[in-house]
Amino acid sequence: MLHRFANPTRFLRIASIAQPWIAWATILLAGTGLYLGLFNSPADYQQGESVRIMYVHVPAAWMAMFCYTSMAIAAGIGLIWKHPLADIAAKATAPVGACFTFLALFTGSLWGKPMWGTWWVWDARLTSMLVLLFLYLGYIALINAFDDPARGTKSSSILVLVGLINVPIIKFSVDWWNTLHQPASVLRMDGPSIDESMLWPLLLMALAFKTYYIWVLLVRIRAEIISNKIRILRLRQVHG
Amino acid sequence: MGSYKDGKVMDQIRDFINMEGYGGYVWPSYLVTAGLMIILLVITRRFLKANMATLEALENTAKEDVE
Amino acid sequence: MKRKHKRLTFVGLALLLLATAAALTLSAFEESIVFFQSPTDIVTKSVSPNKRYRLGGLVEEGSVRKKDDAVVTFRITDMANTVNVSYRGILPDLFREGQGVVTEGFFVSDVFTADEVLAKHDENYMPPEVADALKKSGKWNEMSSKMKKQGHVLGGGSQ
Repeated sequence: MLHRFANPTRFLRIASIAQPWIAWATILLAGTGLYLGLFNSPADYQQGESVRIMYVHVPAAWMAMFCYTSMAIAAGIGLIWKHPLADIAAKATAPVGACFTFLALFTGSLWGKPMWGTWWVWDARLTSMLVLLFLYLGYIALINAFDDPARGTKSSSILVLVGLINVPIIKFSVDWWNTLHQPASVLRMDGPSIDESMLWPLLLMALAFKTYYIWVLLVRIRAEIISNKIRILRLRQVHG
Repeated sequence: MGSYKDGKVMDQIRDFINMEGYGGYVWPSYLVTAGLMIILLVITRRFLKANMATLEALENTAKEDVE
Repeated sequence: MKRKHKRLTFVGLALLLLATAAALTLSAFEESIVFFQSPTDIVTKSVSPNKRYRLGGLVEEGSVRKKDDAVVTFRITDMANTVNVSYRGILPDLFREGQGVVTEGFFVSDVFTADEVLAKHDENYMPPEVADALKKSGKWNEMSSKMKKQGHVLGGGSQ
């Protein structure tokens, strides 16, 4: 099953068919989510209109963790089963994840100032999220630091797997320690503690961010497969 | 909207942008998020296009070499 | 096939080891990872006057007094213990009686003199009408007391 998709040529064919569908899904979901979030959802009883930052902040934070987990799984498959496509998927995920992590930190800062009274605190949630950003940046730096791509892939895959430990720390930091950041509202044991009128735009935006990730991933994987072909062709020309 | 006077519509727009005074926090959040996501997508697409062009050029020269 | 299994076992074991190491490290540094201490943490330890503390909990209902020289006094509670706080400065928008707060400062005799007050909001999001309806139907207290018991407002670490 895995081998069917792991074939780069077959992947290229599937990707070029799937890409326009994913693109349209992203645009539709984001459009609906933005409409609900900005025009058709109530202000919060405590936070007023500032609650609308949630519709970009929370999906970005979810995607930051989702991308990292996906990257770690792909890197693990690449390391153990030596699937070239898995390595490419891990590499292609990193910039998207780094962007989402930065956005979660940035929008969180903009939300924290009016609500908490500070742009930044060194509590467990915010600090572990900053560590996640450094893990992404470290991975990107490491994978590009080697002349031999195989060695770069191996070292950076190990880094990703080591850093995976940070993901549960981020998720549960608000439950394990006293933090300024509040506990989870949606992904919690006893169901969401968020009104339905606010949950819908949040979930739509989260879905839009997810399809956006797949969209960028498809484009990037195609680009990386072609890039590998170019390298092989050039090597052949030099030696031929 | 037709039943509203112009002034009222303008007020509504101003209220919407102002966001109870939180506009300065809400709008940068949305704009930077949208901006960064679009930039990343555009960069990735350019990377693909550039690679496709390079590959095509390489394949053409490879063919010429064979001939 | 054998080499793949070897690598799989190796990666699995390495991750397990790493998780254990991380868990041990984090529990060892629990003291410095917590962002604030609860009134109970403070009361059960002897406080030193020259040490900077972060004190967090709920602003006790009816305890906020605004004095004329921009000084605000209130009490921070975790439902078990209470600390008197005095603060001079601008309060964040979310500073409210019955809501979470984190303050930073020194103890001057029994009063915690804060130079920074941060509001800590809970994880409930709803429109004002829903909040009013909940309050009217009497379900509000039930919900908030359940939350306080779970320690959500106070921060999990104090429980």
